[in-house]
Amino acid sequence: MIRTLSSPFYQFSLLLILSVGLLVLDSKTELFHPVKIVGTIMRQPFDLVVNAQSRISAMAELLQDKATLQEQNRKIEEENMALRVQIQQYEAIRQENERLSRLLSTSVKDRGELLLANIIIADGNPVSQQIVIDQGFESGVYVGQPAVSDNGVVGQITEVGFQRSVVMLLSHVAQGLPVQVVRNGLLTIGVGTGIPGQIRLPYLELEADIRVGDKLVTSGMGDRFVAGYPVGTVTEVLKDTTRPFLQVSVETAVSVKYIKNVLLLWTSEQHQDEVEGHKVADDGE
Amino acid sequence: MASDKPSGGNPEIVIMGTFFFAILLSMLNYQESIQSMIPNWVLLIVIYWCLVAPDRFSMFTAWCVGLLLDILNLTILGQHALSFAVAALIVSMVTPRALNYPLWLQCFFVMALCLFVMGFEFWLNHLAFGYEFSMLNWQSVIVAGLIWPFLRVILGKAWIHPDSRND
Repeated sequence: MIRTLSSPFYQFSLLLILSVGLLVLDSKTELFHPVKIVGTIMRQPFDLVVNAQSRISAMAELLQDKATLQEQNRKIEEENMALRVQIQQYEAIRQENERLSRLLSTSVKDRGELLLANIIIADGNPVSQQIVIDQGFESGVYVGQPAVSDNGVVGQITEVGFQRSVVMLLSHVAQGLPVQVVRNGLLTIGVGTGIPGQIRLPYLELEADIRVGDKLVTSGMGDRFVAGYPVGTVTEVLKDTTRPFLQVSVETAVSVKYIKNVLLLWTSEQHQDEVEGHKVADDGE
Repeated sequence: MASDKPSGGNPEIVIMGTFFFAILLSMLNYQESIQSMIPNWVLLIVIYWCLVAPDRFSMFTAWCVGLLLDILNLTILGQHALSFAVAALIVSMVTPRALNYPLWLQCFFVMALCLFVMGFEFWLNHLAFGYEFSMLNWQSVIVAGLIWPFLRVILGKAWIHPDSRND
């Protein structure tokens, strides 16, 4: 009936204005936070089915022959042993580092708490550059929290819902991360490119000492990411003298294609701040 | 009107059911090798209902479906809503003529529409975040076109609109 009253173009322009309004408001403000929480709850029935699907494929893997499983088990045990040995060294180095830092009277961040979260949505859609994980505000996840995997930094939390949170990947264009070159301690900022697994370093002067193959880690500047987590490897350094800065491409250490879960980090003080921040916000309302 | 009575169940329920199913399909975890070939299920269903039942499925409904998808997938609100509205607008320009096109032409129409909507979404993200136009999942567009005939048969069984019985 509405169709006869108004032409499709009239209807469309109305929807266009509405959509653009939503797009701008949602990307610039926190106005729709409650809607996102409702969304995470509405997802639950869908996720039940999706979880059942992954459980079935896990069962199928279980039905693999015994030899394969034993082989896998042996490999995992070997890896575990190797990692334990590495951790012993790491622990010693960490203590030494802490001692040296204290000598230099710089602040040392505690490693804090860890929480394992499973990835629920990591769609192949290259546009989104974000993943959804199965931990939400009920576990104390907060916006801006770093997410890492065994190979390095994955991204940071941008949206928190009930049992769901959105992690914006390092390669997202809106992402900026303070990084440090391991070889010489050079500090700069990594920025997402929008291409999966690619970031760039746009703020390095032409004379900056950086080469292909240099490893980058988080510098811990800006108090968001804990220092020392691998970020990626420099793959290309272009020196164009007509431009004020070098063009440096970096391949991220983590490819979301190959991970199933991420670790969420709390540095103890950050978490404390966050909890207090929430209380203040609640009182304010 | 007695002839307006659809066969095979309440049309609103059928439409909602197909969307529930399509959203579910879009959420499943697919194997890495076929991930880029998975068509935009929900968009296909939007195109179908816009084409077959424009009196029950308006541009506004398409927009609402897009918004629901945005809410469920925690993407920026309005992104899918707008692109589905664009799809509905284009379909409204060719319906009901398109239903009488030969099937291969319909398939090409669906492919073109899917490609257009994908490009539109990229363009939106290009405006918002400055993404580069490099990663179009063109395989999924072809699969969408190939699936269209099956979709018409399956959904046609679920509910046949009186207008489309003649073709």
